[in-house]
Amino acid sequence: MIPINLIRQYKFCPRIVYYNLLTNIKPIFPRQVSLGNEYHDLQNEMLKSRKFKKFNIDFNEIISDKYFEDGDLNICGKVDLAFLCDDEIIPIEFKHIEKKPSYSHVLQLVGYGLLLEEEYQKKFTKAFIVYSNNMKFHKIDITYKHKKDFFEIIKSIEKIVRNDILPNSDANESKCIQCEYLNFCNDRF
Amino acid sequence: MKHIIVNNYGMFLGLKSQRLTIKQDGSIKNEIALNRIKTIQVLSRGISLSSDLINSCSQRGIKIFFNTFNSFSALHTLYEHKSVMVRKYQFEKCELIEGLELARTLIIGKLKNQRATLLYSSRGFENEFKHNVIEKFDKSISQLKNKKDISKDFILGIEGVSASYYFEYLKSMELLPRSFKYRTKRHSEEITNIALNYGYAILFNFIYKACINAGLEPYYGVLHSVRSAKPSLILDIMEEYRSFVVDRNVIKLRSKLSKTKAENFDKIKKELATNILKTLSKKYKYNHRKLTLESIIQRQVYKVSGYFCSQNKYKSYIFRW
Repeated sequence: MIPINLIRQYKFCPRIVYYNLLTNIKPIFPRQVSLGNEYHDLQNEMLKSRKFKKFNIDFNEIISDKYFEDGDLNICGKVDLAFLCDDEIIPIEFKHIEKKPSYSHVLQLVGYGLLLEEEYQKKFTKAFIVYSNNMKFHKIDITYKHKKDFFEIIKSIEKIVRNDILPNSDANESKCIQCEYLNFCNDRF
Repeated sequence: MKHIIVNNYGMFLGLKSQRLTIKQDGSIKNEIALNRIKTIQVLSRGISLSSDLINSCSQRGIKIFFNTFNSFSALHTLYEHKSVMVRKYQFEKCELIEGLELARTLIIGKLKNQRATLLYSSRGFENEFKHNVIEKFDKSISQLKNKKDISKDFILGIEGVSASYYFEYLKSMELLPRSFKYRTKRHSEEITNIALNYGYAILFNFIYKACINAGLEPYYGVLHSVRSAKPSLILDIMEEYRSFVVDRNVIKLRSKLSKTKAENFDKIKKELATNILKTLSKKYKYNHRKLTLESIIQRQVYKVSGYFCSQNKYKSYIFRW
């Protein structure tokens, strides 16, 4: 099954997916990864006392830090937070970012939304990305194009796994210099 | 990104908070962040390394090479073993006509690059000898290109004859020191041959690294004989780059080499290694982009892998001068 966080990695560079799924390399991640993990832990701790009034959503139940998988969709992943409402589910993702979320962040949320949609049989039309300690958020309206792009990437990842051959990459120097697999790939600049 | 070459007897390479520290006589000579290092090449005896450094390097994909004139070893993580499918296709294709076709392309590339090196290094003078040699090269290239029922012996024959013209020309035109009489691969006591062997050892490390990154089996090649402990694929791929990366730098250092005795080669080692690394980090045109030669070599090796796996075309990289 394809971990949903690989969608973002695929958008960054398809070769990361290859190294992640098909080799046993255990890279040393850069500092920003540990900062992200610390941010997640802090948010999970703070969730216990949060009321989520800012979101202005009438929810029945909250799901937090829970793992889901779906054999038909061939995806799996851990949902940071989700609101279960009467007729819909709304996934929320914590991101340690300062600017607007990228399209790859949105597609990652689409993956979590699709997993929840299948699990709870409720519609999924919007999602949130929370990006600061005081619950600042971006609201994202999910469209058909988002879902279509998500499934296209899943197909491409499945192809990489099936072929078992290093894919082409269009990554440039600025991307490569922060990549933990640079020494294993080594042909970009 | 850096390639660290350590040459001096008595050096110690250690690790301090994700930095490589180079010490000599107890004092720190240099500190380099590990995330800025590509390879470490130990090219002398009597250099010690800490086990923590070796472990950190293997996790970061920094390969450590040990080369002396008669031995070679490399350290890299076993987790790095890439696609088994690449090796499967490689073993299959090497035995078929595709293997011979690749060998043909590699040697054509080698001859073209040798020709370019000859023209480059003798660009200031014109004589009949030069024209004769270039003509012979052209003939060899066209023979290789046009031969229908190609065989390994035929390719090796043409390669051998061309190599003898090549070194004969360099010797006659005094592009190599006068002490150079003929090419000796092992246990040479002549300084030009020592310099060439030293340069080829550095180039070998780069090609080895590129093959490991591409998931290819370095010991199963298409032209050099396949036997245990002989990295024949590396030797095959190296052919294309020998003249441009190593020979050209040895030619540039000819006057210094002439003045140095073979037993004092250590004095020139550093300059030769630096020049070779400079050549490898210089940017050249490649598919409408400018890439460092090291990246070009890596891409070419990926293309060899693509040739084995999906019958993509392989085209040698020809240097312009």
